[in-house]
This record gives sequence, structure tokens and C-alpha cells, in this order.
Amino acid sequence: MCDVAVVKKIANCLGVAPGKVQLNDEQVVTRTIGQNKTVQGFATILESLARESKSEAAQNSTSTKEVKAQVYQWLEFAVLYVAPGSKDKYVSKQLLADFNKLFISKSYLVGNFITLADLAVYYAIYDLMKSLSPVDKENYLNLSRWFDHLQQRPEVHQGEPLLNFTTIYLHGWATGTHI
Amino acid sequence: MIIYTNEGNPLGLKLLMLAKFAKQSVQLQVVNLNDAKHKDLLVLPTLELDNGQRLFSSVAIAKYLFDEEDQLRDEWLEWSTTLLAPALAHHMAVGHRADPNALPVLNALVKKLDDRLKSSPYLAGNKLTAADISVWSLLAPDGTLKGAQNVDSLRDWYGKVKALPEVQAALAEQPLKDLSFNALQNANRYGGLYHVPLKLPNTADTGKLLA
Repeated sequence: MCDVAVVKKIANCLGVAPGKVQLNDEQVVTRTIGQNKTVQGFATILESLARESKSEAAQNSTSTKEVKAQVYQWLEFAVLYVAPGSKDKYVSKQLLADFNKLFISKSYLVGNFITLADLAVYYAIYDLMKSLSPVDKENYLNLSRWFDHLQQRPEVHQGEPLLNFTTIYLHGWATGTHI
Repeated sequence: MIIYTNEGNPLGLKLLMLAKFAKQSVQLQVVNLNDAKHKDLLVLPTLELDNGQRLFSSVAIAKYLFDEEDQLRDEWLEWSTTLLAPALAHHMAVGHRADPNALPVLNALVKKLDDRLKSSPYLAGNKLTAADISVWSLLAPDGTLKGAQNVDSLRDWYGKVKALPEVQAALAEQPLKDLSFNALQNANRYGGLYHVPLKLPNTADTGKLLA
């Protein structure tokens, strides 16, 4: 998913009007609100959306200075490593393993609540998760649990079909051979 | 506070400079990601705060240490890590990673900096901010500006920042000659910054600023 699409998705999640979202001459995502107020850069835009939003995720993301810093680092991680790395076989394996390890002990990336960090990484890793086989999904069980938990929220899936994380996949795949 | 960094990582200098400006005492530890005891570190450099919390993004650290709402500063901070740093990493790469497309991209970025500093003493306005520290610390290693043409405003700003006592103190601990963008390969397990695609600017005329 490209930066422009993700910014729009997250604006929707937060219940904020995205304004005009496009790439500028430097190929950097830019948000224009009203006549001439612009914000540049993926993470800076998400922070501006969070300030305008009354949603749970936005309130959580800006609760303390420490939380804000941790959220920001995942926004940057999504831009620098998850989105481009997902397209590389070796990098994506490492990313999946690292996230799977992180989610052994946590349910969300920052604190014990949903923040912009989860949303940004969710959309950045979406295509990679979609490409996984059922066996892979089981290998990355903790990551799958986090992803599945997020996608159940209507403001996150936004009407897109949900990825399948059920473990009895063989039944649907080969009903005839299943006795 | 502790900065965990790997040998030669230019971003380690950035964190050291930020800490000096924030008047925080900080200890620099050179580590190796392959060591079993550092397997929990995702990206170097990572800063460990006194409360034990760890931050691996230099921008998140800058915003944490200098907690002010300034959108222009935040935009330059993000620009420096998502555009300038990857372009420098691609440009300085050697061997099979060498990328001929990096020079025009870097020229455009340097031109943007020079244009900005023609009209403003510092990147985010009239006073030095974390954005200046961030950009300066990236331009300093590997002699990026050596032999560069027509970047007088950028050079003036570069000299002005370099003369600051905080910068001198940081350089005394972390000399420029030891730093290289090639060290970023060992700064994470995702291939450094080589997987970050270069963003080719739409504007074709970027000039020939860099040697």
C-alpha cells in the first residue's frame, strides 16, 4: 500500500477528514487542509491527524511524552523498514521473525492500548501478511494474533475482506479428501 | 543515558550531539548486533533512557529531548531520516551496492538545503533546532560537501554549527574520520538503509553541486 493510500486509511480510522493527500515534487506524501495549510512527511502527517482526532487510538498515541516518542519510532520503522523491506525475501523474513518475537509478550506495539504505531505497521505489513501461506501464518503465531485482532475492528478493515487466520484451513481447501 | 551504537555508525554522532545540546550526560557503548546479549536491539543506534526505556529512532529521541510543537522542525527531522540518510547511504555505497542514481537525488536534496538556508539562518527559522543537528550530523561524515559547488549558504551554516561548543564536544568523543555510511549495513538486520528506495524528484534540473 502506498503512503497516500495509508494516510487516507488512517485518517478514516481516526475519524478525521484527510484533506487533499498527494505526493509532492520530492515524492514525499503531503497533506493540504483548507486553502494553503500543508503538512509534509508520513509520520508528521499522522501526528497532525492524531491531534485533530478524538478517537481512542489518537488519544492513546498522545497521552504522554514517553508514549509519543515510542509511537513515533514505529511510524518511522514502518516507513524505513517495513514498507520497503516487505518486498525483499530476506528482509521480510527477518521482519516477520522480529515482530513475532515482539508480540510474544505484548498485545500492542506501545503500552497496552491501540496507537498509531499499530495502525501504521498494520497497513505497512498488510501485503506481506496477505502473501503468507496458512503454515507461515502459524509459524508467526504471535504476529498473526496481533494482526487478526486489529483487522476485526471495523475502522481498521474498512470493508476490505478479512485475511483468513483460521487453523482448520484444510477443510475448506480439500473438502473431498477430508474424511 | 546510554547510546548503543555500532562501530563507525554516523547516526551515533547524531545522538551524541542531541544529548550534548540537551545537557544530558550520556555514555556511548559500541556493540555488535550479532552478540547474543544484544539480540533484542532492532536498530542501532538505540538510546536507553534513565528509566530503562529504549528508543531506536533518532527523530523520536530528538522530539523527546526537545519537546516542542513545531511542525516545520518536525518536517525537516523526518526529511533528514527518510530522504537524506537513505540517499547518502546509497551514494556512499561501494561494490555491488554502488548506485549511480543516488548522485542526482542527493544533488536535489543538497540544493533544497542550500535554497532553504539562503532565506533562513536555520532550517526551522531563526534559531538552531534539533533539525539542524540532525542534518548537520548526516552531512559531516564521509566528506559529502567536499568539493561541492555553489552551496555557499549551506557552507556558512555548516561552519556556524560546527563551531558550537556542543558540537566540538561531541566530535572530541566521536571523531568524524571514524564514521562512514557503510557502517549502516551493521546497524540493523534489514540490510542497512539499502532497501529504502531512492525518491527521484520530479524536478529534472538539480544542477551539479556535488563532486
